Amino acid sequence: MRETAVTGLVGVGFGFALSRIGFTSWDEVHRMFTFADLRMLLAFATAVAVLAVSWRVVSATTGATWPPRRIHQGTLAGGALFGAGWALSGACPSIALVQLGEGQLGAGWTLVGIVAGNWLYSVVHERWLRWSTGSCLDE
Amino acid sequence: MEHWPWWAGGLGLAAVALGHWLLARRMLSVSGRITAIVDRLRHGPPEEPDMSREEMLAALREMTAEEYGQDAVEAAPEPPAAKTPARSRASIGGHFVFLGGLAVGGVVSAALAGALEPVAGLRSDVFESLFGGGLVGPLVLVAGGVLVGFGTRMATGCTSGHGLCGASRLQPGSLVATCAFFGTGVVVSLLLGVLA
Amino acid sequence: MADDDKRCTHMDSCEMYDLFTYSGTLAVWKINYCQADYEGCERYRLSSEGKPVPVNLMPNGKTLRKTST
Repeated sequence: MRETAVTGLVGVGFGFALSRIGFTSWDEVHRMFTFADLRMLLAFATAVAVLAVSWRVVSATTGATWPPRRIHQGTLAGGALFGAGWALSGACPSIALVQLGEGQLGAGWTLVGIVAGNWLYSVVHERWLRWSTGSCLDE
Repeated sequence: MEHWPWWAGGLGLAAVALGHWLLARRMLSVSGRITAIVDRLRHGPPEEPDMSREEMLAALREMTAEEYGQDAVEAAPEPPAAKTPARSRASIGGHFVFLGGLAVGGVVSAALAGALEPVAGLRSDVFESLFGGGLVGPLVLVAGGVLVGFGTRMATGCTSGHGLCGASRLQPGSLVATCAFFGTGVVVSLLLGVLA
Repeated sequence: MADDDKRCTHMDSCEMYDLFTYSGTLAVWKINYCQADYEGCERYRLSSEGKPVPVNLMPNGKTLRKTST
């Protein structure tokens, strides 16, 4: 119960931050991808840099380790398809939900597409691809 | 809506990703949660009895005896204490709560900005001028969404898992995926810019 | 490096793997599957099909259940 509540609160904080940074605005995402405005790219790079230091501190103090993320047959192609979809819809998976919360109801279409696309890939992988992604967890 | 400056945005995203791990002991992941929900819809609940670590070990010893002989198991020394606590699985309810939380975060942000009035499409000048009106807008959003859903599952991660958490740990798969989605994001956006 | 080809790449994320490290006897699973015929592991097979892997599924396809005694 406590764990679920905490999960929900982190979700709320994430949604709020994404909204305030501007990731929920199609126009802001477009300006990021066309390098018309570097603000969100800088925000993203800053987050990665701060996290890189944070993981080292966490690992050194708690001894925590994390499963590696390996390159597999779907990494490059999957990433490429995702980027094209992000530029078109203005949304990565979390963004569609935050946009809906903000009252951008068109994001409902995006969300339907995301769930359908995820479902479609699982069928395609099961029928034809069947390669190992290097992990038993789907994260 | 006023947007945060780059440094505040960076610190905010890092705080969420780090906070998620510290509180839930799991890496921030959004597409993974969608995958878990889709798998549950496709395959139904797993046949997983609620077993403690000790019960798992007892059952494992029994099965080892069946498969490889009783003598071997009786000679086995007592197990040492586990070095790492067992990985606890996020429940399907937890996935829905997290995704619902994202939407609530959007509601709170819009309410504080006094911009709760819903719009039928997206609050975007460029998108509306490119695709707005009629069926084209929704079709582009569904098609884009399908690419996002298909691609993130194929690459086993999205902007959170690969872009934020994986790239910051210099994981090869995450670096390749991040370069790939930023690369095609730039190319497609530049093409759309020409059309606009 | 040749040994790496014989090791399952899912070991670091496998929810059952560390049970096999509890004692020398239980390591038979690790030796037979994770470090040898991992492609014959039912967990690996399910995962490669993109299906969810139950926590209590054994490499030989049987499931761990609560012991009656």
